[in-house]
Amino acid sequence: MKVVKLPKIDGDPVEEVSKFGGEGIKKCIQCGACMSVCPVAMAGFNYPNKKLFKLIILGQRREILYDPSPWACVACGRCIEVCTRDVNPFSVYFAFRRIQTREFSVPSVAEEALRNLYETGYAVTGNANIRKELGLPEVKFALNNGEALKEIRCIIESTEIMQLGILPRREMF
Amino acid sequence: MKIGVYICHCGENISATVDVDELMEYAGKFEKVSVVRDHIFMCSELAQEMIRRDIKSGRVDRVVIAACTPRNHERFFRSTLESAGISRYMLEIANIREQCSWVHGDGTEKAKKILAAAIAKAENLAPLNDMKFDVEKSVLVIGGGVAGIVASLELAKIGYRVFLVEREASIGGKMMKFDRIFPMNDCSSCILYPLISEVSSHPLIELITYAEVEDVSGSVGSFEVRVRKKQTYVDWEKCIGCGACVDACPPRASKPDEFNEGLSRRKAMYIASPFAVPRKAVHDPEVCVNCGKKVFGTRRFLRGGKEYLTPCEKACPTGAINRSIKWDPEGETIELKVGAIIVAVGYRVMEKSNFKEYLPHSPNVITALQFERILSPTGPTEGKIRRPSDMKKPGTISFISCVGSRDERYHTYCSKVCCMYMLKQARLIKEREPDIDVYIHFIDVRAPGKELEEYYTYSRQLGIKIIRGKVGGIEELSDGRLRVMGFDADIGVPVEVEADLVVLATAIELDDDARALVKKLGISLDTSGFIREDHPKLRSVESWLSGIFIAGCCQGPKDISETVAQAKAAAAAAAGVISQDEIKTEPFLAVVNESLCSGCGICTSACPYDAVVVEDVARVDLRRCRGCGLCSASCPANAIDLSGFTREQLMSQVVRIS
Repeated sequence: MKVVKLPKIDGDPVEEVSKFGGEGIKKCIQCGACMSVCPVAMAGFNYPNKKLFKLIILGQRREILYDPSPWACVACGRCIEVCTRDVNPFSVYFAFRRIQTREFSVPSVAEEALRNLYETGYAVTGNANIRKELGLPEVKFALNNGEALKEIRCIIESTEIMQLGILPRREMF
Repeated sequence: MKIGVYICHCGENISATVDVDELMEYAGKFEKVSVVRDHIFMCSELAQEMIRRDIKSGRVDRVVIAACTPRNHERFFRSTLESAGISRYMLEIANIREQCSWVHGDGTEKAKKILAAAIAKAENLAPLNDMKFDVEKSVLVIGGGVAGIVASLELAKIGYRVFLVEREASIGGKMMKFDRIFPMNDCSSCILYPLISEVSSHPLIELITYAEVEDVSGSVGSFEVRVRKKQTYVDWEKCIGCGACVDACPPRASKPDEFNEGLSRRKAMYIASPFAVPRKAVHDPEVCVNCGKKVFGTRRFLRGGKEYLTPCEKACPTGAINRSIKWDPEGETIELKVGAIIVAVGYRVMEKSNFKEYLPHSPNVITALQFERILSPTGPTEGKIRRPSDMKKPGTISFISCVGSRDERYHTYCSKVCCMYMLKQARLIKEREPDIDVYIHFIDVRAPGKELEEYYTYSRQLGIKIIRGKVGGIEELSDGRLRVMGFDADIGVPVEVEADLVVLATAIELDDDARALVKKLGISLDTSGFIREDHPKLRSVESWLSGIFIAGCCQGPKDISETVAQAKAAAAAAAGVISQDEIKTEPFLAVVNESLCSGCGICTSACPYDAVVVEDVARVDLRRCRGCGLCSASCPANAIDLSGFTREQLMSQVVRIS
């Protein structure tokens, strides 16, 4: 097993996360309630909320900067409900995504999702055949609705995400 | 003779393993037993009323209660008998809970034997009268820490005379060493100093510092105490505490300072602390190097016949020092007579040398009490955070909790205050030097109580890094820094911290001197090694000897607020005893049958309390007798009996069950 060495800290990731909307992290006492309900944990990612928060608290920015775990969050919000300390784990998770994005360390999983969103209007498109087999109604993709897709692209193009160079830059209208 | 047998179910404590119906049927077969009843709770008022009714109606004139240990409720059941109009001593308790149902799968047969023996003894009971004694209206408080100080003040406020004995030269105890105290982080001195000055100036309180309790005899209401004042070579009547002798004393006559927990040195001539009360100089002959070419305990004359004076004697402006006095290991002894005793002798923290894995030889591994001195403005660094090896500001400080506590190798109990004082110290670091990284390695954070959890969460918000997982060891790096090898259960991996200073929260335990004192007093220790209270819930400030009370950390680890509360409780309990006009004590004392006694004196040598003297025949000093029964057992002529436990009574029990 790897040993984490805790060196003298340069900068403070807790402050960094707070600046991006995750100031609740200061209240975290590592009770683990959020992790007990988190789909990220159940899916087997390395750093579900509580674990990620502990590394942030310990100043271990480098350990986690390239980790895809925060991007596995499906924004279900259960962690917010169960948190006894009003940490709002979801917002900490998303704050860390913002940091990763700024550092150009978005994992490939996230890049793919972003491209999907841009191309189809959906981050995860799913498998239409499985839906059919299960008798579920067909998903109406924005792809099929030119006006809606145009709006989505317009929104994405007007954000800083474009600076990452992941998405093709197109002519504005 | 009509014996009433009352069998308790104790909820299910007894009835789950003892067949109460069978036991009742068994008890009913004894000839002298007139009534057998059971009850789910024999200690309840309903059951008491039932017993009283039986006695008042004349159906019962002596009582056997089969229930829990007599230590729990014997006094209470006795008062029931008395209120129903018969002697309180016509009672026998059969303990079918602690010694029977709690320790056996099927306790019915053993319960029968215990009950049969109790009935046999009840058949031989005789009414006894309580002993009545005068009460000395004064209290001895042993220990001048915050518990002793508060207890003394409370008693003096009521109007009782108090003797406060402290082994150090100054009162104030460990609390004097702290800078700030949780949960308000207010200054310890500001709370303690007013109390100290109140205690030292109160007309009813006599401070006896630099003294130890040598011997205690007597019993509740009238204890005789011998106190030995240690020899100082300084006449405290004349000493004004100016410190001139301390300046004159050479630095080579020195040893690690007790007040600064060994972080600085003190001289052979010293004043206990910067704010010592009483502020008097003390001479330590073990450290003295006889620098003035005069061995202490001797005199030297100059050629002109004038007496030669050593540097300290010469320096003293009031002529208080006389090193010509012969060393007297006895010192000066003082005899006191008091009605009650409060033991408030406090604690010590375990030495770091006990823990080899934490590199106790490193000057930068210190105990939390030492760190308390580093934080204190009266300490060796005047409150600046510096590490002992080179007095440089540390960049990283690691705290390790549960050192010696919750550990089968040392102490299994939780020392209770360590989590809080570590958080306090960590907070003080962050407040004074926010750029120092602070790590706390812990097993569990225990912060229960008013404002304490909030204190804990606030500490986390300050950026103190709290890591769940105990440190397995420390390694010394080539540059003298320390590698702390810990584990973080939150992320599940080992972690390493390179620290400049490591603070060990070592366990709280009872001092060896306190253990010796416990023996002298005849009270007892519990399995944790602290002084045992008579009942953990109902008689938590009483020792098992009546008239001796306990307060503060000598009863178990506790913080200042709990200590003060307990000290006040002990004072109230002591006042409750000595406020009586006369004290009734149990009559279970030795009685001499003079017609059988040959005056051989074996009983005198057997008695541990010096209560038996032989003047033709043996005579028992009832005030000293504690009813241990050694005299009775050792008497070759069977001339001494113990009231309530006579030969006849005990033999009837043995015969009944054999």
